[in-house]
Amino acid sequence: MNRRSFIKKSALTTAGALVAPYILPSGRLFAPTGSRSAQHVVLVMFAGGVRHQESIDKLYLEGSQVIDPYPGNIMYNMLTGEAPTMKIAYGTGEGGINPIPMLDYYATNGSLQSQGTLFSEVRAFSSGHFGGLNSIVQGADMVGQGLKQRPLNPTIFEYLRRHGGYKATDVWFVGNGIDGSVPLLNYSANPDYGIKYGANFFAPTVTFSEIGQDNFSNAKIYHPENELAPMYALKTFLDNTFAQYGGALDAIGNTEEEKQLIKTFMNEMYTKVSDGTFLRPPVFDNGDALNVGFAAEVMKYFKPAFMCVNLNNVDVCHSNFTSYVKALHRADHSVVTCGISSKTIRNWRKHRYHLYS
Amino acid sequence: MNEKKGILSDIFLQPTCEERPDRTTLAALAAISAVAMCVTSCKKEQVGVYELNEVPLVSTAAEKDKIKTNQQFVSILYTNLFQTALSGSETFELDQLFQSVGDLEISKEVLISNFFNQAGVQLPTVEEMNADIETFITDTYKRFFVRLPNEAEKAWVRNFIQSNAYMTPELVYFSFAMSNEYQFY
Repeated sequence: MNRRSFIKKSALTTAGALVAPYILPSGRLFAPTGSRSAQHVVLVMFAGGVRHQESIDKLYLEGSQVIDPYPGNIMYNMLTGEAPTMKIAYGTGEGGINPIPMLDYYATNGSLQSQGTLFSEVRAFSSGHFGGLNSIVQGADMVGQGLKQRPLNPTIFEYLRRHGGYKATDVWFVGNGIDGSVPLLNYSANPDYGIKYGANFFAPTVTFSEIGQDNFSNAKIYHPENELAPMYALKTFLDNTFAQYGGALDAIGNTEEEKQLIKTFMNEMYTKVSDGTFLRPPVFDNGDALNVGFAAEVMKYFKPAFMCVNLNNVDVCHSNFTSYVKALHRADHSVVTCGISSKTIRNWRKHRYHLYS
Repeated sequence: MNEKKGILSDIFLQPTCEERPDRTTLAALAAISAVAMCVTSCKKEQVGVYELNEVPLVSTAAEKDKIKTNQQFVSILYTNLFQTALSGSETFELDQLFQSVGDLEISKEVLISNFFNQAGVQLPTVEEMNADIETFITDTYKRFFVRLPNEAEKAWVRNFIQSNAYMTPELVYFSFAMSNEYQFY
């Protein structure tokens, strides 16, 4: 063996030794180390045109008031910086003159920014609505992606379930509604992943709305052994008969136990909504605030390993700047309030939650 | 005149005297016609009876390869259970609800169990089911699958119902409504 051949073979052997441990027979990409930096991760998406000016840069009216520019931080729970003291139009009351107070927890411990890491510059693959959401959940651009089509590439939910071994109720996507193809984001159209690795999904402002109360809240309770078991047994026979013709349906893959858990959660939520006792931020006068409240209920009940929440009320600046800054102010208030208001999440340091927004 | 014949004159040209049949021939023809008319008029009219062969207009499971949309599913389900049509606005609302829950199986189970809690579901009683179980099974297959069960299916379902004391028409309907075949058309 000459010197060149020796070096070449040595390099290949070393590379193989480095790569091999990460390709496991189980199909996982990495062996679990048991030392994750967070047991639970929450990803909050502010869809619909949040600008640097009013968020990261804390400029408020600096750029828009030519005669008397006025900067300030209107997201003071999340971001570090002084709030405006004048020209307040984003709060509550007539004219929005009453800012929503900073939460005690953050007043004492500092803003979320001071407790974590803020990436102030992130490259967006797409600035469109569905494109932006799509890019976030699949980590890829929108090339060839239709607007009424599931993501073409596997989503983070599918990676977690397929390669991380998480069960269906460990992974959630809480959408702000059913418009804009939002319900298509919980799994991709990729043939190697898809629905069987998808996330559970709720659009709570629809599911637990009046039409939900009318049609879903009066479910009959069946005995699990005497009634449900034979019912499922007969269904299995019918499915097996139909399977010989190729007729089968894939599903998200909640186990029967998980299905019962979700149904129980839904029943509880209908009761809570009816009683007005579900989690909400102190100010909940828009859809985002309600959605974050419902998301907190999901977190409290299922303790998911990964949850993605979509907010959309800030998408109003096309026609109304005041409504936009109001929505931004409420998004800041809602996300952090519900982050600390549920019992589980109150101890989120103990449970090691990571919040990305 | 013949020299001046053209295309139009060919059409309108009348026969000449030489070309006309004589009176004897005309009389013979009239007589034959009269006899023929008498013969045919006396003949009893035959009435044709047309029938169609009976063809069973039921589908088979093999033909079902298209998945029902949410709206198709809820409107067909409602009709199957209540024997009356679901309104357009309710169909639309249920479609929205289905879109708002990720696991469609859960939505369907919850909706069906809600339907069974409403008045007006057209269900046979347990006694009626047990009194004529063969008819019940056939009717259930026709109601939900729009087809007849084969003998193996009938035998299996009959034995299953008879060996499960808690089995009711409601649970049988529930199973059929949740089955994969019911999701297709």
